[in-house]
Amino acid sequence: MKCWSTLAIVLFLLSALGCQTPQTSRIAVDDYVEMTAAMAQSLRQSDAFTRRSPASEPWVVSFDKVLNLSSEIMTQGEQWGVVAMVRGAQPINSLWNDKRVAFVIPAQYAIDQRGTLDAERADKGFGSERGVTHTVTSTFRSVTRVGEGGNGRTDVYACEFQMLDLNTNEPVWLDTFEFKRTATGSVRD
Amino acid sequence: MKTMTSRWMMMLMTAALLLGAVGCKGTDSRRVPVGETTRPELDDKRQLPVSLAEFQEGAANDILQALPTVRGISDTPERATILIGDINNKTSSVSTNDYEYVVSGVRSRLIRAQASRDKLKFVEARRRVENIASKERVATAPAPVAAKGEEIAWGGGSYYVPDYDANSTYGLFMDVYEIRRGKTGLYYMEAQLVSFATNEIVYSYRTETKQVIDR
Repeated sequence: MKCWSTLAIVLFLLSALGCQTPQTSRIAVDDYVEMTAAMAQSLRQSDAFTRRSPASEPWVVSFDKVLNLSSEIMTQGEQWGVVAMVRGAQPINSLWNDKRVAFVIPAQYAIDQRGTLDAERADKGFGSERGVTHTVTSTFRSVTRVGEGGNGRTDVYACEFQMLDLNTNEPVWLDTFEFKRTATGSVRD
Repeated sequence: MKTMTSRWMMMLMTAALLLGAVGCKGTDSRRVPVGETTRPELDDKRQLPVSLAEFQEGAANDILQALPTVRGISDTPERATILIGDINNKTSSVSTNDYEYVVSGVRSRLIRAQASRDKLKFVEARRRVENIASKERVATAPAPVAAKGEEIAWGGGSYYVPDYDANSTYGLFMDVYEIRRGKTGLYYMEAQLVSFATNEIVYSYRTETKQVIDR
């Protein structure tokens, strides 16, 4: 009998605690996967790319990490990871052969791999030989609304990606991935 | 005593089952369509995100329709350069970040629209491009003829930021005002294209939305 009573109490507590599990309106892993796949496809199908041919003037493209202006907390790794996933989805070889587009690692990576700060000081132009002509940047923004007494929260995320011509400051490709996440009940954000 | 304990136990078991089956449905975390308005949004006294999205779409479509008649843009052969200007946020509750979302959305829609490509040229903020150019070691030697603009010197080289002709350069500005009376808020939003040469407002799009909190 005692055993059954204990079981009943444990069950009750577990159920009650389970209902208190905080919810979140943060960007989910699936959102990142869907976003990067959509943006990679958009870039590949963009006018900027489709107009190019093997005879085009070469483009050398670097990626910059996400400029996060949203309420979402992103680590440096996540900020770089998102752009790496967009770049990684491009068929690198065929882009060069068919479109004369090459991707280079960010200058900071090159400098880091080279070695010490002294080396950079000795040669401040290190990295310029890469001849970067374009850069892909991304900016995340969000609009947050919170329910009465902090009960529930909704975030609209607008994640904008653009490829910028560094000679003219003009975007040659731009697209935005927008989505909304909502959480009701006890919210953890 | 034993009957009492059994009754308590039965009650606890029933409560646990009920909580498990029904109670936890009170909390939820999911993705919803961007156009859907959620309960937390309705409970919040700030402007509804769907109003912001409607303004984005309305302003972009209206600018595209008005382009053939906007003085200074329609009657010049070259593309007008558009810079994103300041947001004049005079609301008491809504963050300027929210209106940056609106302006960037208008810009994004216009850049993607085929109709604007022959007439408008959007450029990124000078400071941001300078930072990228410096970080990426972009040393652009200016062509002799096009050698106008400001030379930005950095560690290993220099970079030319193109100058824009004031006569064909416009700022996209936004003004927002709020009048609040208790649970009712009136939001006035206006997007403007302003000539850099004359400071004249050559185009404007405005909406007024009234919002009532229903709690």
